[in-house]
Amino acid sequence: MKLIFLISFRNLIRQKRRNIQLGIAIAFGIVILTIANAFSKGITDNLLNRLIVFTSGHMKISMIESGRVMNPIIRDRAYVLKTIKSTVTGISNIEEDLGAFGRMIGNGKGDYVFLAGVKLNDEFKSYFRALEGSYENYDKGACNPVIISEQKAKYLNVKIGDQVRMRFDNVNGQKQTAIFTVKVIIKSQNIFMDYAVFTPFKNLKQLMGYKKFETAALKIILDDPRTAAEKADLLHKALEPDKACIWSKTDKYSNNLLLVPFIKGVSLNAAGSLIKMPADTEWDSDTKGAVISSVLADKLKLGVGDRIKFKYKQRYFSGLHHADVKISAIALFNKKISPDTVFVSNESFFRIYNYFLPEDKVRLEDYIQADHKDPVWDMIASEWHLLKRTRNTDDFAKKFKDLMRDKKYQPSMDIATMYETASEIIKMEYVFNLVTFLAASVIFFIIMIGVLNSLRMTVRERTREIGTVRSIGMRRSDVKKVFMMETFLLTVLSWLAGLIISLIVMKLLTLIHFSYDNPLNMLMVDRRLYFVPTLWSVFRNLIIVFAFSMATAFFPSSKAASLKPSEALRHTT
Amino acid sequence: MKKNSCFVFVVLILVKLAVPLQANVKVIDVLKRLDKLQNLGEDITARVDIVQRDVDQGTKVMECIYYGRDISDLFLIVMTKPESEKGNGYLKSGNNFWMYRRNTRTFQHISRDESIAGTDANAGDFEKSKYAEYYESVKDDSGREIVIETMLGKIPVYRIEILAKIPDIDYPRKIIWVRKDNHLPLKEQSFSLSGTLMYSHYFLKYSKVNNKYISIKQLVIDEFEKGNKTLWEIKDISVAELSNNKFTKAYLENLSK
Repeated sequence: MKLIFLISFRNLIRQKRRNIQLGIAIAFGIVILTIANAFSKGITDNLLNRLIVFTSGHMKISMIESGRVMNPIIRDRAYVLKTIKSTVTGISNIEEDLGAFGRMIGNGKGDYVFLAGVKLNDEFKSYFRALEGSYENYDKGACNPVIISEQKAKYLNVKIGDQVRMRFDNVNGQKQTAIFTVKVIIKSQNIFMDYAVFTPFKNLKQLMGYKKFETAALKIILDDPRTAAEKADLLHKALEPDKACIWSKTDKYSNNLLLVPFIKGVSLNAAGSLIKMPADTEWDSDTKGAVISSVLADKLKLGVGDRIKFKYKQRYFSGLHHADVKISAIALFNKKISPDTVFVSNESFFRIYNYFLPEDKVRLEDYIQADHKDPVWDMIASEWHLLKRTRNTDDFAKKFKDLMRDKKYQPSMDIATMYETASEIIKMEYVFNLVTFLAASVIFFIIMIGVLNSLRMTVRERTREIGTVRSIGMRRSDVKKVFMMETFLLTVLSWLAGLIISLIVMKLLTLIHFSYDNPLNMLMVDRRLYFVPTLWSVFRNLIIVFAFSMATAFFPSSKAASLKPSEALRHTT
Repeated sequence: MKKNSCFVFVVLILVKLAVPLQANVKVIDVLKRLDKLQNLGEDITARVDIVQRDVDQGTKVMECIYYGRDISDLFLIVMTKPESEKGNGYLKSGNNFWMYRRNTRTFQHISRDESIAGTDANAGDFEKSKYAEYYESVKDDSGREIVIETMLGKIPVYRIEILAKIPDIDYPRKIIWVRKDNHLPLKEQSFSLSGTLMYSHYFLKYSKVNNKYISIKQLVIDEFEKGNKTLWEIKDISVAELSNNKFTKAYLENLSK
């Protein structure tokens, strides 16, 4: 084997010029493939692990009320967090996603920004490098400190210590304003990130009007982002809601009342014989207030237009919450429905329920004994409306469009993954990978034609030599091995050269700073091209080029090995 | 001692005179009257000229046709100027707001906070007036409503301070100056949740149509971003009955062709 290696090596050096040219061609292919792979991996890393993680997470849970899609609110954060932790495995991190779009006014200039609430950690500090100011004690001393990009600071004409004002809508859609102090100016990352201005999470939460047990949305960062859809499906099942109800007391009546909401747009005709409305009473989807039984109306001495008062224990506030709802109809309830049941319109019920979540949950079957197939159960709204899972951006956008149109007071819960919220970004990665693969395949195809031709010429030129070595005892298989080894050595040396050149080229390319704004900035880090060469991709490229060259070398080598020594010796060029 | 007492008495009188008088009107009555005055109770068609001065973008002149029916809380706005906005429109039907874009011939569902043609006005501003439903009076420490008799220029007015009753009203606090004689609003200031003055709204001119007052000239000053202001002028008012198909997507689409 050693002899074969030495002969192959000698042959490689003997035909220096041709082999160098061939080696350059292979190395060029390797350079292209390595750089393209590293760039593609860089985009993936940038998008999946940086951009998507910062913007929407790999999974996102949000709840929308009254069609206000820009101001999501999860009223019971603890319950949702508990369900996530008990259902989803492989979680790297769960972050509260809090932000507000608004107009920020600096020194004589204003611009639209996205104000994001952040909890500073090492990852944030390393990603958003401070140019001016310091992260040390940045939230001490100033009322509302902000971290702003150098581009935005330049546009707003502000420097460290300057104050900026901002107007935005809070969680309830009310206009809110606040004054912020510029404490840190960070390096501009890309055109997309330049719109983000960061402030401490707790400050923004307070300004946005969220209570401490509430949050806007929850972002889940997974160890393996590719499992997001599968895990979102699991979570979707786990977050199936129960029917909503408020179990309450009312004055001058010993029994507890059970308030249940109708679904939006319900027709009371659907209740059949279970709830009989007086002939002159109409109830449609716009009707507000409550329907009570005639028995309860008699006991409480209340009529249509009066308000039924009740009080109940709250989940997150101490003491009882007192509320009331207008009686819009008095109906005859079938025996299967307790007269202490109060059916409340969707809007009237959730206007109370959302702001003051009840602590007690009771079995609705104790009040409504109708069979579960009975339509009355379909008329009762659940704690939240769990939106269907969608698989792409179009369906996701349609879902939210419908939500805006519907404007339900009942919260709607959505569980989305990056495949819906950032599918365009993911598509871009797929397209880039595909283009890279196709381009590299074409380059290799051309190179391999060169290898094939070169070997054919070599076999032709060395035919008499093959005859000589075969005459003095070299076996056919060894002849074949010499040619294969020669190609192998050429491939490995070219791959090595190509790898070194590509590493140098990548290093040089990362030195270029793209100072002007363009959409491709989104794919860059620190406004520089971003490459992530991986060990796997480097060896995969070696395997690819090795497979191509060996396949191409096989046939000329076999041809050389099959030559008879006498014919080979007689061969003239 | 006597001299000192006289001095204190004079000072107290002067202080008393300097403080505007607490009026004997109920805020809820003023708010109901405001709603009644501003809601025509019949259909209206008008041309609206809008001149917007923006610090960054300069002056922009716009014109639109407004069709409204406040009984059913319906309205349709179609832009006629400038050329870039011509044919675009806004429709409110029931609880739904739509924005129509002529170039793409598409309707987009919008929220009531959405700006109309990039102006300070939002879709919600064109809805039926609901002051009495959404607001209540601010009360002082003794629980009295804050209604002050004062002067706005040379006009005697009530200055009332109101707070939103429900949490999802865009401006949680307002101060309104209404004429004492007929309760027409002359000035309105809108405050953010943190108490910052956001807009001052001046009702410069009224016109009487079918015994109802319509504010035909209004100036909105952006107090947050100084230098921005919008002047609204309502012209060619007609209260002729409008057909139901005026408030449909199809009509807006046809109008924009």
